[in-house]
Amino acid sequence: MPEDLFDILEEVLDAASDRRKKRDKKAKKRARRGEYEEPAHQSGGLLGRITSLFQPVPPPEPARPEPSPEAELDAAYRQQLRLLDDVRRSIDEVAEARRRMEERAARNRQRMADFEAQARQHLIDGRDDLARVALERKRLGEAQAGEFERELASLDREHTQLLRAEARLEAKIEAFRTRRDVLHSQRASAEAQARISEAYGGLTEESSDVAYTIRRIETHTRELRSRGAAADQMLDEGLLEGVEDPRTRFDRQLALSEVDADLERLRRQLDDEAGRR
Amino acid sequence: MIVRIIGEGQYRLDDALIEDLNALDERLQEYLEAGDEAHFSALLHQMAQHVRHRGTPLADDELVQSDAILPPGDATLDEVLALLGDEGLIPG
Repeated sequence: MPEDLFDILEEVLDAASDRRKKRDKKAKKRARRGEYEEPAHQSGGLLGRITSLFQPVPPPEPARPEPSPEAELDAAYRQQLRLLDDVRRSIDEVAEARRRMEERAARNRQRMADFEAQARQHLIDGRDDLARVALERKRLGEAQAGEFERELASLDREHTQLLRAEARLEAKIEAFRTRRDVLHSQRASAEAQARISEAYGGLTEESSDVAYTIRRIETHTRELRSRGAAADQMLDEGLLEGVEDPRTRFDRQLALSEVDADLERLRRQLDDEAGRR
Repeated sequence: MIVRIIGEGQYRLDDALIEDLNALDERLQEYLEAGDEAHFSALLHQMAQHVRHRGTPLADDELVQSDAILPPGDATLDEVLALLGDEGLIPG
């Protein structure tokens, strides 16, 4: 986080607070004079632009008498049910991505154990150079284990996010269905028409949110899939040069000294074992 | 005032907080236009926190439109730019 952010926040919020005080003062004066003042509203800034993307424009008129409002509402209802299916499909996909990620993490753990065993054998054979390579690969595997943990945590968050989205959408669809049924039974009621119109706007916004969230999460899981497949293949083939190394330069230098320490540890282990024999 | 955080849900906030939100929104827009990823991400994250802490979550079955919609708190500048250039977000 940029160090100056809290200063910026303080400055921006102080300015907003000053504006609010001035507005309140003016409002009191106007109230004393019996004048009406427009309430403050959300500006047309960045949030305004995003808001307009997620809400129906122009406002729908599903409750107008012609053409059949019932047909329009039924179509909207069916559309939301399809979206609910998409959310459920996406939940399954994230669960599947998590399962694959766990498998990769398990393979990675196995590879690390294999590299350790290889390093040990190379030392027995007097090939310290090859033992070092095996231990470097093991260290890279350890760095990747950290990446797996982060990705698994992120998939867990996305899974929870989708489950919440499913619950919200389900509840909203049900509320919408109730209002639609009321409208069906009281077609002439202006109040029912107004309520269904408002509900339609709320449901459309929720649907846009859910559709965007699904797309964002799917993009992430697709990226994970392709990155994972490429890294697995290269690691399986031992082509470490092409694998994206998640470590910083500092971490890599640290890892080199850790490789030296690993080599020493293995040598001591072998010496101890030889001594016992 | 109702504020939505995309991917998270809607919150009811005191109307008086609109001034804060507008002021932060202006600053956010400036960072977006300047391509200042670090400040943009940090401020967006803080705005989402502000809404969560100062607002009350709406019940799942409430069907109302929001007065303002905030991108996900962890959205990158590129993601928001893509979102602004987006078409057809509203299904159908």
